[in-house]
Amino acid sequence: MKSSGKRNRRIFNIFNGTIMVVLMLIFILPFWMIVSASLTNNSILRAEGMSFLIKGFTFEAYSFLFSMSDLFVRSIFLTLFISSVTAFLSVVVCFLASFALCRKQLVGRKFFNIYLLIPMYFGGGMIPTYLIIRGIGIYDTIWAHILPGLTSMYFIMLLRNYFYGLPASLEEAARLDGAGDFSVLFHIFLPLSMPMLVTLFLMSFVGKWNDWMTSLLYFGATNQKYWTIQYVLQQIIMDTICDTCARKNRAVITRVNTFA
Amino acid sequence: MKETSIKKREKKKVEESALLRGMKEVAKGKTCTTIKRHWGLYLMLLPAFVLVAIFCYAPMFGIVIAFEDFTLAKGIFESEFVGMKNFKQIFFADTLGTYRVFRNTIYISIIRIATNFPVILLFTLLVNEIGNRKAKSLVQTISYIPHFVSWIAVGGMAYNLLSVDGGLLNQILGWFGVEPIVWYSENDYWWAILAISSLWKGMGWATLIYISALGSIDAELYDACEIDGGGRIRKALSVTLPGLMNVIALQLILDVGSIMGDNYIQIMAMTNSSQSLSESTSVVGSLTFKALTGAGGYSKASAYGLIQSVIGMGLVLLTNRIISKTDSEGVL
Repeated sequence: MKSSGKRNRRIFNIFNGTIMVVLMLIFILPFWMIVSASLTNNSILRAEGMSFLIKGFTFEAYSFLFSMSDLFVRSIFLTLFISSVTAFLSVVVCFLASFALCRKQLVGRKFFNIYLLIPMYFGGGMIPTYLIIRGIGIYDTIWAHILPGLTSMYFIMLLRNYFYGLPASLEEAARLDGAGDFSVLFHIFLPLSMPMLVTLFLMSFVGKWNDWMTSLLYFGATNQKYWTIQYVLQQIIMDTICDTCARKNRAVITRVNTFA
Repeated sequence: MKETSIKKREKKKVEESALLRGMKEVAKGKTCTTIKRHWGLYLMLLPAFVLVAIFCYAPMFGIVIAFEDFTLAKGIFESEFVGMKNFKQIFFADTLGTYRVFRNTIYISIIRIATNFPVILLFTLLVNEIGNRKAKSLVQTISYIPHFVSWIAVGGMAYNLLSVDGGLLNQILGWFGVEPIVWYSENDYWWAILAISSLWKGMGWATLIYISALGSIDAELYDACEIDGGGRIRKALSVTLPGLMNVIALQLILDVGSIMGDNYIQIMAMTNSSQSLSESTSVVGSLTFKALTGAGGYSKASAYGLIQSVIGMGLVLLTNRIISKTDSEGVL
């Protein structure tokens, strides 16, 4: 009885392990394929198609990419800048708001909560938002990248729940010592929620890094100055798929993905 | 189970007393002085308040253009008000296109949810069964990676896989003597391709919510199950799964609420809005996009968007009601 149970477990472990290995390969191989394609010689790639092996090792694709124009390199730096600024401001705005929303001294707390909750259920949609962006004059400026996504209800909710989990006695002690709202915020809540804030920063950063809609929607078609990396990638990919002559780009596109 | 409910009750009590105290303070100290004393709080709220007003509430009023014959030149206020004309056109004049767009939106969502949901759950259970701690965290970490890749990149990867000349899938099919398939012009496959790519990208990340819930399952239950002679599969079915029921219900309900939402970012990134695939992949979002990127027709696209929003909101509210009825731990 016992030994059969052990054997069953063994079989299950092998079975489970196999599934996991296969799944991990499925997760990783697309990335590997990009790397191998980007390092493979173009003529070989053209003749034999995609492969897991690197044939005719070359950095050609990379040098092409960086020599293409300064569009690519600039978009990387621009996106880095935009992503960090947006992530930082977003964390600041959400942190401040959720702190205030948690204070019982805030008159009209319920109103503010509902005010922030409604947009989670209902939104105006892309076109009205676009018109607003045009209307307030940030169309074609860097602010169109930064401002629209700053307040995240999701972040505020996460932070609020986190704050409720913190011991209330800390704040009360500080208040007894005469601390105002700001010193409670900076000396008690800020240090305590640092790990959470860093997580949110990273989430926001990745979200912005991967965003390409903004470049498409809120910037004029010729305004390449503000294209973010993902949009540049998309443009290159589009060229490749449409134009069969531009096969050279095939290795290029594939490569760029690694940056994401 | 019991412990958590006690905790919940305690938490509620604490919150209540805090609220009560706050209310007392407000009542006692006269609202005005409280506001004056805590002006800092309002200052903290200000940025979020203003940003939400501009980027969330102002666009809501912009919906008016769905009832107008809107042109960019004339603007929201000058454009001619036409009432329900756009909606009439959508439902009566343009029936076929409307049918197609909404069919695609709904089918793509349903196929995605129906295939992804069970697979994710199964994956969670299997990951949970990995004995070796290091191996487990390695598997988890690797499975998170695709979540951090943009849809554009996934689109590029899919192109490596699917392209006619040299795409890996066609090469493999070639070994079995199958003629290459032009995936990028075959409408039949794209609902499946979209569902699979969603799964690939989101699977690992989606397990997060379940795995964090696993931590709260009482270890004694597993011991009890083992004493009763239950093996791993028994344990998974009789302890883990019931323990996850709350989260599963919640996730399922949330998914149902998202049926009307179209993942047009994914679709555009993977198909490049290819005309030959529009039969199966044009969704409400792609119409809006088309309008914004030059084709015009703002009003009609807004009208489509409005219909979508309203149905979507209805679904969310409905599911929210179901959550509160069944009293699982609703987050909404």
